[in-house]
Amino acid sequence: MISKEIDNHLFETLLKLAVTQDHYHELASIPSEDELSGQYFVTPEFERKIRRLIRKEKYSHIPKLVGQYILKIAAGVAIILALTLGTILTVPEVRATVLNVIIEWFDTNTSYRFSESSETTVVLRPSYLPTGFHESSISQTGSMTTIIYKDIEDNSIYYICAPIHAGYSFAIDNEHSDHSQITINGIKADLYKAQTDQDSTHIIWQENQTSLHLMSTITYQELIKMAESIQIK
Amino acid sequence: MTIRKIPILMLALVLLCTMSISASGADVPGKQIKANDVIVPYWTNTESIKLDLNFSGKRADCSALVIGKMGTSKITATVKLQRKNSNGTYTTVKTWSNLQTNGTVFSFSQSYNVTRSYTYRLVINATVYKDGSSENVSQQVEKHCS
Repeated sequence: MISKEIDNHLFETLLKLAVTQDHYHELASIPSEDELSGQYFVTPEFERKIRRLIRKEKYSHIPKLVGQYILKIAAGVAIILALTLGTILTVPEVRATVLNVIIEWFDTNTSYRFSESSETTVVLRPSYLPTGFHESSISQTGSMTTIIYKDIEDNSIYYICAPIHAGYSFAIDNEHSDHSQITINGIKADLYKAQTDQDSTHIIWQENQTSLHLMSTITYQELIKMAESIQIK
Repeated sequence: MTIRKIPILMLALVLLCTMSISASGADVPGKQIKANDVIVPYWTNTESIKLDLNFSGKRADCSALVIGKMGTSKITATVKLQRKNSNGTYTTVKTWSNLQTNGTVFSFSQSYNVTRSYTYRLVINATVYKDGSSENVSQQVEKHCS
């Protein structure tokens, strides 16, 4: 038993010695650095390539970092824009202005065109009429509804409403009136105030996908009062 | 400038752009007359023109409303339905002419079958008569028939 252990120990020692000697011989067979530098040399081009690879490795994380920052910025901007637009568009009058109406100003008239579509026509009569006026006629021309109110002196108030869609367009005289913007029940409206008693005042606004137009030679205060009494729910 | 300042700069830029848009939106068109401007006669007889072009399948519903000023005696009109060609020109597919009404309100409503998948234009040329004078006015509207 002891003899077997001695044999193993002897074998280990001899093997270690043999490996060490072999390694020494291997190292000794390698030419010295001076010998190698005389035989082999590194070209400047190769050195440049190595330097480039080292530099590339050193700065390789920067594009990734910049890319991450750009992504974060883009996401931030997108969120801000979406929130801003969403907030603005919750206001009905802004929505009406931005999405629906294209107003063109010409020398003689102002033209209104629309881009959104509405399927239904909601005709709501004003709950207020100026003293002496009554509903004289109601007519349907395509999707346009025209109600004419008259008084005993044959003065007229025209009330025209139509569903907003791309195929609806109208123009009004803008040279005998002064334009300003007012609000009708919180919704932005165009007031074309008559310059003389002979001229007509126009009030134009859009509510609930319907274009509303009031027109008359009565005072603009009375016309506004009438417009405010038209409530679309 | 550190890289952390970039988001702040971008935010400031977005806010600046937003303010610029609001400012340009608030611009009210004025009536400045310049030397080379063409002076167009007033709408002296006409209050309003309205057009309505709608499609139900291949049926085009064409409507027009012309309202003259107080004292208007007569309104005559020609209404045309035109198809838009691929090169941007228009071909008249239907003309309603010699239309006339006595009074301040002219109304027109007709239907016509069209070919689908084209854009159509409804044009009205009206003459409004008042106190012995006549005034030509026109309006148009375009819609796609899908």
